[in-house]
Amino acid sequence: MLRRARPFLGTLVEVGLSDNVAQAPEIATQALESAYSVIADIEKRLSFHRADSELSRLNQSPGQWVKLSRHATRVLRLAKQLGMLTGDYFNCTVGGILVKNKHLPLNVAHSFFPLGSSSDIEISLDSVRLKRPVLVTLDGIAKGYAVDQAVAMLRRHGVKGGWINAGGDLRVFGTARLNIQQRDYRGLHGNLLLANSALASSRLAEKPTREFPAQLITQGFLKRKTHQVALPEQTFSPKAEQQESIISVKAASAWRADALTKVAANLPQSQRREKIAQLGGTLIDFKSLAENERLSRYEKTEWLS
Amino acid sequence: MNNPRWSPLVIIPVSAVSMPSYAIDYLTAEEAQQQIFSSEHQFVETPLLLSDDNKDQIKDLSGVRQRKNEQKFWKVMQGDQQVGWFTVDDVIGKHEYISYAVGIDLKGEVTGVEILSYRETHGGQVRQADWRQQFVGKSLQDSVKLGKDINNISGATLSCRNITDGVKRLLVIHKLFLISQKVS
Repeated sequence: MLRRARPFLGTLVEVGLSDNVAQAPEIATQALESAYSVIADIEKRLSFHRADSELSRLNQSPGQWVKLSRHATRVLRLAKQLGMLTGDYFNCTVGGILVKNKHLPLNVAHSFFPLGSSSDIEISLDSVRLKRPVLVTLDGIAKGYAVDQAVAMLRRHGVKGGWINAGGDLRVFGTARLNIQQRDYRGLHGNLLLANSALASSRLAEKPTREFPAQLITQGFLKRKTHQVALPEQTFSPKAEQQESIISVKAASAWRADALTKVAANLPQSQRREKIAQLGGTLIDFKSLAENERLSRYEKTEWLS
Repeated sequence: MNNPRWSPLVIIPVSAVSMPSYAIDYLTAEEAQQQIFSSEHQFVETPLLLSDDNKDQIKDLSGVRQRKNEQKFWKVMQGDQQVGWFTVDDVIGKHEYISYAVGIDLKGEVTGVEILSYRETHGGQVRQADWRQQFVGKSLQDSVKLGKDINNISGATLSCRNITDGVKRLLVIHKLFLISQKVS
């Protein structure tokens, strides 16, 4: 097994190769290096933080067609489509608010709207145009996309099994199996065996704190209460961490899992499961997984004895 | 009128499967040397001792506090020519302890960063809650299988900001104290 971690995409990106490492160590190393360079390349092109990225170039030129690379147009197309499908529950044009709130850096000279909608983005074959001066941020989708592209690269090198985990956006492929548990302030939950699919988790909080590495403000039609986690009886005022919930979505690709956690966060709890399924994902509730697991184990024991 | 209401939710990507279960070692310092430079290079250990004044200087220039009085550095040699520096450092976050290696060339540019190891700092807390529960009903056979599986935890907030700050600090140290030492 070959397992490495390097800082990229604002987090630690772990690449694990579980197969054909021993047989062909050189190929494995090459595959690993190529996977990291794909990630570095996508980061360079799609980062909001870099004033010289393709994304920043687009944000700097509203109203004009901007020629972009294949990666940039593809991610923007996915983001726009998902925005349209979800009535902008997934909204990548929230950059303006995030800049105003100082969560993202200011890289444009013109004045801009705090937010727009997916219809503000026009896409041709290799160019993109912002119809209005909105600021596009791909935070909610690009990390997953980078993971998908890096997995494709590993496969192209002949790697039969492995995984990539970009601090929250995980994809397992080929012969690899990962056993996953979720942690919140109460401890570990569940036991999900992940194979040939992607899982993304986002922590949902109502108040920003300094610890959070990235923040995404989303549009919602909802009352805030729907976002609160069911907690054990609260006889005291809950701590900040207890008001948080973690949303995990499983999907075939990492970009979809990544983006759908943001959609799920905007949906009332009662609609999440169904809507996320319509969009090609599966909402994972680690807490109920844990119970099922224990239950089935218990039943099994009963049978045996 | 259907007025969309702003709900300023904060969504943070969390390590869906935090890299490691409580602890993982990726590379030893020696392996990282070969990874960032190559097996053809020689590495000469050159520890750097820092006085309190030095540490203040580092803090002023990098904005990050230098904790240790001794920072480990290696001169990277190709024959009798120095080609760069290699260093091992660690950062302590609220949730994790990460040790990492950095290669710096003679121009003061980073040539590579590798994570050496990762530790969860509050393993104790993890263990308290549901942690034990996962073993309930598991036999020896199961635990053998568990060992084979790769266990991961989701829900850890991972950020590489600490590492970014760490690298900045190391580059300041390089600029202040190492550039003058480059002649071997």
